[in-house]
Amino acid sequence: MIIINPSDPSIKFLNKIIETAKRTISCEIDKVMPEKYKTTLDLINSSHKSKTLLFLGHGFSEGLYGGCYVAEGKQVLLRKDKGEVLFKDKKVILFSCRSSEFIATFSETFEVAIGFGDIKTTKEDLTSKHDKKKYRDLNSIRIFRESLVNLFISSFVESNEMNYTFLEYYNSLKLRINKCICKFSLSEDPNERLAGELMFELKKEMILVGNSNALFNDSQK
Amino acid sequence: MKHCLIIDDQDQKDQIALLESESLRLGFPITGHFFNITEPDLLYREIMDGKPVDLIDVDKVIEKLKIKYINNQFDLIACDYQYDDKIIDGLKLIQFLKENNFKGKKMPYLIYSNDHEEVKDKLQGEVRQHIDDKNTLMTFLESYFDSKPDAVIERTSYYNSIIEFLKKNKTPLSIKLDSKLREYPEKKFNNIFPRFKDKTLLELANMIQKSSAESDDFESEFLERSVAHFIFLEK
Repeated sequence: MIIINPSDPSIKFLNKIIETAKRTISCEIDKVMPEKYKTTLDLINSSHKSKTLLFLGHGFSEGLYGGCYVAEGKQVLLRKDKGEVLFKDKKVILFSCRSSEFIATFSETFEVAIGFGDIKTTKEDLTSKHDKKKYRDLNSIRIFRESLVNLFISSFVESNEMNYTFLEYYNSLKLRINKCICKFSLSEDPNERLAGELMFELKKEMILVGNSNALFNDSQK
Repeated sequence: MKHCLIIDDQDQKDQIALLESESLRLGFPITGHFFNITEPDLLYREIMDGKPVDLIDVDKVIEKLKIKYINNQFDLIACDYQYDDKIIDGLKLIQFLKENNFKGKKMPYLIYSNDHEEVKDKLQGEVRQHIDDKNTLMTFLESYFDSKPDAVIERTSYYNSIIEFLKKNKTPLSIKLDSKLREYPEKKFNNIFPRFKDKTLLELANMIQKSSAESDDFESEFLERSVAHFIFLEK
């Protein structure tokens, strides 16, 4: 597995996934920096088709962001045109905002791909007035973020241990999301209920395209 | 517990008592509900051959059925074939109930009659008319069960056939869900699915009965969460 992780302080919470991956799976971690985009793109390009590419970072409907300079903000790592070449016949998980829309624009390119809708994990992800008001107490976002990372890790580890296919991994993730929604729906803490709604939105926008029988991980540790 | 609605113009108390006791004895309890289709408020008067005749007003029938059974869902509806009426018979009634989506598109119907062979001949005759016509056969078959009963049975001891039918044909999940929601019609939905928040369970049951893309979405979510709830996961 190859994990592509942009250097960006706003996604520090994803480090827990990387730490777990290092312990449990044979993987290569690429820390993406704006000044070395070429290295990252070359790595994706030269990666073997059997390897799963896991992108952990920010995204938008037309592409993926790389690292972030404080002064200049997020920098685009790649858009559809490059994606079509680099992701050709590859197994890809894009754990980034609106990657489901991004994947949908060239879905036939991938061997298999998993994408997500809006993943509201930071204040900056609350773009609409409605969301800004609804989640103004950022505790709900924090609860959502922590739960999401934990369940992502659990399914990640399980899929690796059980030698799951992409479909099994996707179902495992959905099952954990559903359990989380069930738990939060019974909570008396309004922030947990709001976190449950964010989890619900996330689930509704998740997609799996391509060969769902492809293996989640090619080489186990 | 299964529920069967019986529509007839003669009292069916004895048959319902047998249905309930026999099904209970078999460990497959069924409750019977009787609806008299020739109650005075469901009739209208017409002059036929110079004489006043009382006829069944099907619009009133459907209206009364909908009101009377708003909080009930059934696993089966059984109708008599012959009524004391010059126009309406069991087949026409079933067609009418189905067209009006009474209790949903998946609701199974039985028809019972002393002349059940005659009813079967009538239905088979309709099929025969289309069998050699390539242009209309498929369309006819596709829409056949939209207006016809699922089975035709003999009237004598028809309660046994109802038990057999319900044992053999499992109640669709959507009907079970509809039925369960109607047990608490005034309670409000307050789980995580914002689109349906604060709807009463009766409103949700009615939505499921209409069978739309929206209800499909609700039913899928309901199933997903139920399955998730039943599964224990290690941390």
